[in-house]
Amino acid sequence: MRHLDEGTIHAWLDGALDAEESRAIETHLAECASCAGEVAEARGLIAASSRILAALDAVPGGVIPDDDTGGSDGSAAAKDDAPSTGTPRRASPRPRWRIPGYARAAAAVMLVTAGAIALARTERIAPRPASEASSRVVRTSAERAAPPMAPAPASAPAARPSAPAADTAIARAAPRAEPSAPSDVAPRRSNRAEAPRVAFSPRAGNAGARPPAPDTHAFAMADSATGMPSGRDSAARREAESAIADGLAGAMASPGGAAVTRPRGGASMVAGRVTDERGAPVAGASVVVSSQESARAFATTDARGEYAITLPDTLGSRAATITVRRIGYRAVTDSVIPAPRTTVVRDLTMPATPLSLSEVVVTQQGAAERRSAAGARPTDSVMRAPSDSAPRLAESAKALSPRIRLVRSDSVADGDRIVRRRIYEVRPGVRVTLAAAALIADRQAPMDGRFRAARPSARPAPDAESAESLAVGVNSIQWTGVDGTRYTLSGRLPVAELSRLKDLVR
Amino acid sequence: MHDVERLFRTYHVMLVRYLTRRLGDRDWAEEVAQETFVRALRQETLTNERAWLFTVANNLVRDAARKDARRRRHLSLLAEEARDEAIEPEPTSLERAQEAALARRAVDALAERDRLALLMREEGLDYGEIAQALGLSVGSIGTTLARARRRLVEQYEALQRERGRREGHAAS
Repeated sequence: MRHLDEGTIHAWLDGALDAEESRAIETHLAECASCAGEVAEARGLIAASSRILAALDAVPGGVIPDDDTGGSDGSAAAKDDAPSTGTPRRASPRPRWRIPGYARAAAAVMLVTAGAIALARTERIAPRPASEASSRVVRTSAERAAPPMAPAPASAPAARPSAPAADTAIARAAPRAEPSAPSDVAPRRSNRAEAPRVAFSPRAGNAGARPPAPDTHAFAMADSATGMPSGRDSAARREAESAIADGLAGAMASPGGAAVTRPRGGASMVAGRVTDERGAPVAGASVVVSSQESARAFATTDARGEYAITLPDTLGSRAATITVRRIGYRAVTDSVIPAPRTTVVRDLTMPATPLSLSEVVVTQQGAAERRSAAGARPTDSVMRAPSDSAPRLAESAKALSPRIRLVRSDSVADGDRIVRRRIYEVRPGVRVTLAAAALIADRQAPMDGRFRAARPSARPAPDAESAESLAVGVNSIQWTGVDGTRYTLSGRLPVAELSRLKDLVR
Repeated sequence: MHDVERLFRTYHVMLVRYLTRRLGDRDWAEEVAQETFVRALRQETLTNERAWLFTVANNLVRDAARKDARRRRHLSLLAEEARDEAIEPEPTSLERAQEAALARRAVDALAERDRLALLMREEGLDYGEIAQALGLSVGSIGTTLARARRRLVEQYEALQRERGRREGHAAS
């Protein structure tokens, strides 16, 4: 018999050969040391590649990078109650993939609610071209906000409620650069491609040690997902790392740029001020410091545009990137090298960009309600999900606030349905579940998860512009489908928590 | 129709794991998996369920890449109160995250056919099923897998060495 080729060896080890072939191989191996060596190597490769592939499971799957191991769901007790994985040869526990018992219970509850949703479908917009529909909504809100306001981006930053609406109109009118790109990705790319590196903006006032403003929102976490470890990101990260040297040089060169102070405590901190191009403070911007693919810490700027982030040990003194995001501005990334017991001051300037509002729209309706009812019944936000509802919705949520995070993404089977769920945490302790039930019990029924019966039959196919929206109110959540059908659900969100939802759009 | 639940329970975990490993995105994986099951249930008969599911999932991923505006889905909304379950982000070990990142890079470096074959094999598909899902001959699967495994391991080890060198520089 000829020597064994590698493919045959793997096929044999994988049990893919019939008895006769296997016998021939065993006979050959008994007398061929070189082939026996190759078999040993193949065994090693099989084991090693299994191990490498299993490491992929450590990547949390949410669109919003976050940990979803479910440890915070109180599901620890339910982990033993896992269904068969269908792969008996796997011995290692994989709690992430299990559907804990509580999830099934939740699904049952949810399915009941899904029925309620169908009933609550209250309003149907008359058939009309989708793009017209969305632009009309926007126009209306802009008019309400400031009737004489021309859609010029240079309009003074009016009261917050009206500004987004005006910007929205612009955003709608302007061609979108990347209409279908996930909002999380697009800003990063465009940032890198065109945004000026706003490193160490030389502001004389910052030369001194600014005491970092205590920020109650600031917190830090280690998170395996921060890095979104894809090739694309790795490249970006390398780029960021290589930019650090430049950054250091810049810090030395510009006296007002990166001041370094010794804070009282022992913590390593990054602090600074975020302004727009005209020097006005940008409040409510999220500032994230992240390093490699491991750790991150973030804070939100206060009314003066200032932030202070206490870094976790995991960020240590390694090179890190600092990114600031805010609806209506282009995200800005800079490099920063934290140092132990030192506050590094990093001021950032965010260029206003109405285009980014194509992803997230704060409607005038919400603002008007907020004004009239003085917080009693605010409709807080409307997130426009671009064409691709589900994942984009997640990203819109993220754009709306970095504090909205995807806690869990899974599916559950219940009788004749498969229910797809995404659970977001919008504020600590407040979760919102989006569920899409694929109704498959009846072959006559729509089977693609749409409530198709609600669709006006003669509608033109919705295009990418007819995106969905999500509105979170005090005790209701509204969802508008691509076809304009509105769904309303009365929720059980506690009023105290929901009044704070307003902060999400700040 | 009544084996919806059986089909789901038997293959869902496997399929989602496969898709997540492939796509690096659990959420997307869930999406594709659900679509796959819905399509499966529209079939009158499925001869080889597992191979069929993986084939359809592969096609869905390909379609998604081609036609980006595909996954439109009406979501029903549900508010859920979970006040007493305060979220404490679970600290994930740095090492584990780095390993995952390396693994992702190594897997992404494989040719697509090799990668898919390997990922499907990891979910227990036999050679016939892999061949069916990828449109290859059964006889070529051994070679495909051998190449995929070798390259994956070599790539991973190369990345590890690279990282080791970088950290060595950083430390000195």
